[in-house]
Amino acid sequence: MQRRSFTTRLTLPVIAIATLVIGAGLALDYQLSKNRLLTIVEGNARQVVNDAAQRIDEMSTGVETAVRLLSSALQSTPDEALATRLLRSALASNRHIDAAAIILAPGADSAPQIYLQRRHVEHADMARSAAPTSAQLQRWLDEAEREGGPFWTSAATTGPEPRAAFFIEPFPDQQSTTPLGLIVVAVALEDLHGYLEGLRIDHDGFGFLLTPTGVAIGAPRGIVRATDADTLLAPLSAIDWDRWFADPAAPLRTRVNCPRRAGECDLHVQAVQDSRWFVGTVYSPQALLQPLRDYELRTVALGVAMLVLMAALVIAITRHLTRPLLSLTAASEAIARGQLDGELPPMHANDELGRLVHSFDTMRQDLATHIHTIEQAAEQRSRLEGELSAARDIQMAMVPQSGEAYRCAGYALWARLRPARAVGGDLYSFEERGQVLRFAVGDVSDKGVPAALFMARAMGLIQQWERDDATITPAQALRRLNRALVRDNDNCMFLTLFLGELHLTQRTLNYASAGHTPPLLLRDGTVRVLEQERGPALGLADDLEFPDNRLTLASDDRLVIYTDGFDEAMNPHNDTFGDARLQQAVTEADDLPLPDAGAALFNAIDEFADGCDQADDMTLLLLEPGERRNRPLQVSGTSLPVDAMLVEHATHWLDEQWQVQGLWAEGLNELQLVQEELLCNLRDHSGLDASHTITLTLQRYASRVELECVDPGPAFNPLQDGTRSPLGASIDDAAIGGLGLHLITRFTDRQSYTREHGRNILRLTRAFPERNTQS
Amino acid sequence: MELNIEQHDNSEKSLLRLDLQGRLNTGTAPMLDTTLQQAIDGERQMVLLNMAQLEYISSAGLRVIFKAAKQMKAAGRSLAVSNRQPQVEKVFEILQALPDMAVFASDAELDDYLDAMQKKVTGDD
Repeated sequence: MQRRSFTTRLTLPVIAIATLVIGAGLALDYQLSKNRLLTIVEGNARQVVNDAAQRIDEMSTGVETAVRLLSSALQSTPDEALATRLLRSALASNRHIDAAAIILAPGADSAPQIYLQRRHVEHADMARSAAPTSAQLQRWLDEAEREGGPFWTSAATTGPEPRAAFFIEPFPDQQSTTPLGLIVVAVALEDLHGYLEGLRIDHDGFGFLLTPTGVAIGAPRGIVRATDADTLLAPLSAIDWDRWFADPAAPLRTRVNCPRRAGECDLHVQAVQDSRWFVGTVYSPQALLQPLRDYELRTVALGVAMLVLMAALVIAITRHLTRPLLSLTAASEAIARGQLDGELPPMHANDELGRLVHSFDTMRQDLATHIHTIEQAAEQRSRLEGELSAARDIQMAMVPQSGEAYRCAGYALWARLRPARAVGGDLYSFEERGQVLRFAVGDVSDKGVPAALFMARAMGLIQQWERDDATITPAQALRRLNRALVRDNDNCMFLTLFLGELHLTQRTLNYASAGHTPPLLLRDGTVRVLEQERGPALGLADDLEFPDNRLTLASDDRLVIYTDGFDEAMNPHNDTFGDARLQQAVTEADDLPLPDAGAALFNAIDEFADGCDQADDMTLLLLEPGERRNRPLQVSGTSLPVDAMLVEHATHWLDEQWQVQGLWAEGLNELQLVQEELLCNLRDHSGLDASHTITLTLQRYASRVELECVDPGPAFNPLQDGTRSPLGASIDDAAIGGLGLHLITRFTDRQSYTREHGRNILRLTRAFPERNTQS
Repeated sequence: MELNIEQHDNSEKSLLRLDLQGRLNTGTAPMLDTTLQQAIDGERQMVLLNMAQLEYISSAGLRVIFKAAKQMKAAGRSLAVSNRQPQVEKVFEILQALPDMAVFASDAELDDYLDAMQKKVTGDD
């Protein structure tokens, strides 16, 4: 579709414009030519008639002159010899005269005498017709007397149709006015045919003559006739000739039926100049305009031919021009489908299209090369990633509990290692041997694979110390480690390391540091940096000495040991997280159980980094020597049967215990609401009945209160599985218990659900309104 | 502590006021439900829940109120609440639970509203 559309878009407008131009040109030419042609055609017609009229005038004048000469020669009754001589000379003088006769008028007792001369022997009929009967003769004489001079007539002596026109002139007696006789000349109608043809303007029409006496000579159907005008033209139209002859000066123009076909023709009669004859033509105006119509047809045919030729040329040229473009389009579509190996159309011309094809081809080749390179790189990278991923797994397997460790056995320890890349140089480790807990947190210089390899080397040595039952202080251990790491360390990799040894019963901590950041100690809600004497980093120089440090911990102390990935974390504004923020985060996490506190510290870093990539490996180890700080300060519990009075009893119990634990009065109402929503749900939907009991526990911690509800019903986590009704909707649509869940989450700060030993355990925590208002 | 409901019928204003005192929870909600159903069967144009002395409300109580509000509205009448204490108001707000109800912060506000309604009615007549 696209291809066609471009060619079409190019071709159609060109053809359309060319059509307009050619059409307008031809139309203008036609308009100009038409008027000129019409003038010519009309002029020609007029000329034809005028010429014919001229010749007819000459002919008639010639005939009449010859007869007049004959008449003037006849002064008395001629004898035969004279008559014959005169008639011969008349015939000789005018070639139109076919026959001539002198007819002497009959006397009282004698028949008329006729002298006749014919031009051709074969014109016997003519001779016969020229010999009138007595009656005819008498009519002619009467006519001559009436006319008072010569006249033309067509009356035939014999036969139904006259073949000649006669000019009759009486010649008078010199003594009297009575005519002696008549001179009659006959003009063969066939001879007039040529003149009539001259009057014909078109094939459909014909010409005719009108003599002064009203004889019409014409050949409407190809045969010349001489008769009166009415008879001749009767089939065409009824014309009031008498009226017209009364004033023949005005030319007659009228519409008549065409003689040889259907349709209307024009009839035009005009006087021949200086003569008493009239010429008439019948012609079809359509036929007159035929040349014009031919011209129209020719013009249209020419226009169409030009258009067809031009359209063919335009299409051919367009195709020729767009062919490379179409191939280029096809090639680019192929490339878009990913077929980069297709050849482009060859272009030899150095025009825009040629350059386009050339640059497109270059692009295609470059693209193919690039894609190949990228594919290779991707393949290489995926192999490398696979290897690195395996390396990461191996490295994480080296540290206790694969990178995130939690141990709670008289003491609590939580640790997490998060490398900046797939593998890293940070490490943590701990090992409990009897009443001694040895632990380590370290950081190898640099990151990535080299650091990881060095870390692996150090790790083996550290764990060797941790599992050694011999009494080796952390400082001694550092010295040994250093000696081992210095060997074959041409790359000058180094390791900062914190080693600690906690005696669980006395809670004494021996520790030594090889250039490692001092840990933080959280005691009584405040953070301080652990005092330490420290030696240099391991691996750089032989025979280094490291001091031992010693500290006795309190049972609710929390020790925070970390690598510099923490305090040196960056945000998008290039600020470092820094000691102050770290100490604040540690303080804020004071109340949290150890794993939560560790996670909170990592969260604090991530929030601060705000999407910035982790620049360095991060390791955090939290250690609490006693379990006490995780214990509630006060605990109240009750077991209640799941019966109709469950909610009432529970409300009563909570009222009492809230007082007993001295909790802040304003909080009771909301905790009551939370408990009621929880228990209503349980009572109505857990399927439990009065034979089951649930256990409620209210625990006061340093800065929070925790309500725990344990039920033996089927596994159900209301926090995840419960349906929350959309708020603000109609109450009828709200799912059962769906509203209460909103209240529970709004009126408590933390909710957690676990399932243990076939029981659902839901813990809801509410912080005290103001920190440390309760002790 | 349980729930006490006092009824004050004002036929002149076509207002039935229910003074709620104590706790409206899962235990006492059925009692209010019964009272409200009677009120709905009555003829008063407005039923007002005066919560001046209501200390506590749970979702069970709200459910009863919603139900009544919906019924009243369907009958072309209205259920209103007034004088909610902060802790009660908070529960209302959390559950965004006021679609079909009028709420008056105080008695004065209620009186203004009733006066306005009265004028409107007589004005129309």
